[in-house]
Amino acid sequence: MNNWLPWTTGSATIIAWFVIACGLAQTAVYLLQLVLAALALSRRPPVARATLLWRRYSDVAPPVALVVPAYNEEMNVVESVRSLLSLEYPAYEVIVVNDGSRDATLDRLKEAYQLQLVTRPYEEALSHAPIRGIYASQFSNRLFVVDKENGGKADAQNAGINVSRAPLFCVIDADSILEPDALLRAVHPFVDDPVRTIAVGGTIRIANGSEVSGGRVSNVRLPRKLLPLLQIVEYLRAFLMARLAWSRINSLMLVSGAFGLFRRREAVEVGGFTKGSMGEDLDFVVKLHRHMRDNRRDYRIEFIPEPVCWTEAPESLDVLGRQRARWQRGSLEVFFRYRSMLFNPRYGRIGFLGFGHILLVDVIGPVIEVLGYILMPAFWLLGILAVDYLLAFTALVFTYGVFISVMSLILEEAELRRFPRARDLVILTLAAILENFGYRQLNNYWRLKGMWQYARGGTGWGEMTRKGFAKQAK
Amino acid sequence: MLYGLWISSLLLATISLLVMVGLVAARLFRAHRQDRREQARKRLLPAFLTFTEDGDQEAFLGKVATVPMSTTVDLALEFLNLMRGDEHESLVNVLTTAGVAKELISRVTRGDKTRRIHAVEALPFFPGSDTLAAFQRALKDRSADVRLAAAIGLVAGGSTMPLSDLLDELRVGDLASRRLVGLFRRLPSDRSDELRTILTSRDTPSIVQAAAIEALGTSGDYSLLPLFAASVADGEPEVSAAAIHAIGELAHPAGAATVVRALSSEDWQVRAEAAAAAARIGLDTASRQLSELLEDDEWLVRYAASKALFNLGTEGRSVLAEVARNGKPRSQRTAALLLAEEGYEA
Amino acid sequence: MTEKAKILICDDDLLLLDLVEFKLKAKGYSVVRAENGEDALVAMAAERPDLIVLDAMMPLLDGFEVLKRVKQDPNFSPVPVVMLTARRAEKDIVSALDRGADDYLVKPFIPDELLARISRLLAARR
Repeated sequence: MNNWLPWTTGSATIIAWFVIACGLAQTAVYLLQLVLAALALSRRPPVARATLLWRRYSDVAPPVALVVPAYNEEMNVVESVRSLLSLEYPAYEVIVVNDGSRDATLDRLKEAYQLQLVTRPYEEALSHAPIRGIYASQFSNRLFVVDKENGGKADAQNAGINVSRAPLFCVIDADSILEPDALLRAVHPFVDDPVRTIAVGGTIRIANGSEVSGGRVSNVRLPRKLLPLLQIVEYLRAFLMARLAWSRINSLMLVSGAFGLFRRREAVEVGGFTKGSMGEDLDFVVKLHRHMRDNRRDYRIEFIPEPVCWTEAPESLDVLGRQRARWQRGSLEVFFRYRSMLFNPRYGRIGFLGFGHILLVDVIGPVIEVLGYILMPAFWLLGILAVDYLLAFTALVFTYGVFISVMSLILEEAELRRFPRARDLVILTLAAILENFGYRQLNNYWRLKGMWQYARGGTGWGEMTRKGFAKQAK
Repeated sequence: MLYGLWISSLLLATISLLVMVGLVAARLFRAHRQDRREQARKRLLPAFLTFTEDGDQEAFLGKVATVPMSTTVDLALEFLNLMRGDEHESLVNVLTTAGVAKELISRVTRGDKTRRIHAVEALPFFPGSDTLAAFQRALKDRSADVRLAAAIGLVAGGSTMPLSDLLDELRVGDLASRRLVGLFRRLPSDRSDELRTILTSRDTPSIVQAAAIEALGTSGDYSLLPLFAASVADGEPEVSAAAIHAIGELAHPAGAATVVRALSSEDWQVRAEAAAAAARIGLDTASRQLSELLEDDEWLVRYAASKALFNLGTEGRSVLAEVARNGKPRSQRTAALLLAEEGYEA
Repeated sequence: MTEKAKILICDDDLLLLDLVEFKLKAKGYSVVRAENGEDALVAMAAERPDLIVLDAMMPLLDGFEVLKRVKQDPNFSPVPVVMLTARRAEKDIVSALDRGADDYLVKPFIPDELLARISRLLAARR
């Protein structure tokens, strides 16, 4: 090191410390999550069998409106509506919102369900693009179809909320599959704590590779392709465990737009979903937190692992990359839109933990980590950084990564045991290790891409909103 | 410290992988056990089917002796959940002989939460003093869900434990579950005075009051009217709304005065419930007040009022039609939309 | 000959299918099983049953929709349908009877009652 000026080694060390501190903070957050998730899992209420569920809740479960936005879904809209109409729940209605599809979505529904135009008075509680007509079905008195002009997913959901009359509504993507008892399980907090519960999220699982028949996932299997397999581990670690943890301390920031149950009253109070936002589900939950805290109301936003919604994960790098870049833009958008909540004591844990988490993991984390991948080895090769620093960095991004991924899997197996075969566990363990070598880095790259798109603003934005129905499983 | 980070990470990663290996082994063992269970179930199923047909106790008990108790318990509960009537009764008898009730009673205090609550929720199939004693024990359980299930079991099983004591055991103070309604509904009708006492007691939380009203509301007992009227008068909005709803369920003309007063309540939920109740009672005289509610600030109240007018029959409908022609803009729109929804030309 | 009548039972609860099939066979009926609504309609056309026992909450097509489709089709509409379901809300019962259900039993059910109603409906048809 003697041929370098002291200030170069000095600044290299400072940068290295910064990178390591940031990685350490992230790892600490993940460890905290694991502990909280383990607590949440061990303290969760006992899981009832399906037959008992019906006896226990069918008399007291409040009516639910399923709001299903559909844009250019002619291929599978009839199938999905069928599976939604056969859910096990005492009182619910299905409100499909055709968001000005340019294909035959509406015609398919009209044909399959013999729809007829009806008058249905509803409250103009939320604004949205004009409704062209409301249809009811000859076959099922649970089904309503709202035909409206195109306005994006959030706009369609708002229209659906307006038209619904039930005290609770459930948003669900037209291309995902709900387990038959999912609603009955998800309603549990609304029955047991009816005053405070305002939103409940359930598990999103990846259906790739599993057998689907009769509108239900009949045989759970792991995907054969690597990319969806890695996403399964990622969903366990980043979504299942993280949400369990944050829900445990009532600072859950995201109830997935692919499957979430909300109380209508508060949803209307905050003005429904924000139009033109990338991550309208994240935005919505943050809005709910802010509203409830602003009005000093006691409330719960819960995550419970039992109700399951299946979704198809992207199988190509291209599609996955676009999805992740979009999620990243969604996070940044929410972070900057509601930035006044960051570290604001008025918002308590939401401001410190919730927003701190977004700041650390979504805003600065990816940048620092990518910088680390480039700078740390470079500094070391140049001889201006001691090998200890490089080792510590490797420990944080790789070995601790492996530990956290495998721990998530351990928690899953110890408490939920949802993967049917022992072989699956072996494969998933390998995937949990592999996740940290390559996939994690790719994810960071996509996040940076998303940041770049966000920073450039405007361009490519409107197109995404119009298209905006690709999976929002996050 | 930096080196420590590296070493600790290697250590933790290795430990986690070892634990995972253990879990895989445990899973293999579990899968093996599961296979055996399924085979036992397959062997036992014909015995159940045959028994429901021929009622041959000895043959059934002989078959049961060849499989593990847990298999018998699982299949027994599935069958009992499916059927009612004489065959259900004879199945309960033979299963009691086979030791299923005893097994469930022992599960009430042993094993994890899920196992305990399943046992408590299954025990009502096997009524008797032992079962009631088991419920009493379960009432002290750590889990609120188990306690609630035990309370429901006690009430449905004919225990004479006073309801107020039961609620104390449930620690109702922090339990706000809507499942209380289910508990109250199972109370035999000759014990409804206990519910009345709870309702009139000053320190009953409002959510419990509302649940009590909801459970009483379906009883069809007109003598409850004064009690409900009192709840409307001094209750929280949610209690008032539940009471008005219950008065509507009773549909007795004596509730009229209370309902008419509630039509001009400050709380919109109470107004909406009152409109619906007015229609159920057949309160023709309220049609003027109802037509005023068509102008209400809350959409739900406007809708409930229009619906109530429609349900009042000829007179209400003619009021509605008149408003749809000549009313103020908001009332006019509300009335017209409802008539259209019901298939009437405005 | 009531004894030879063919009965289609549709339910996604396999144990219920086993139980009802066993009971019906003991009475001399022949039995066709379907585990979801779509299979029920297929079996309807292929097997031409004399009576249907129908659950409400099934995958693919729910029982109310199957009922509507059966009763709308002039080929099938004379076939009696007995609803056998856990749904006990007044609204559900009324809507099923409106759509032409010939009987409605709520789970948990009394097996002998189901058998008696089936034989009554079959006798009335002859």
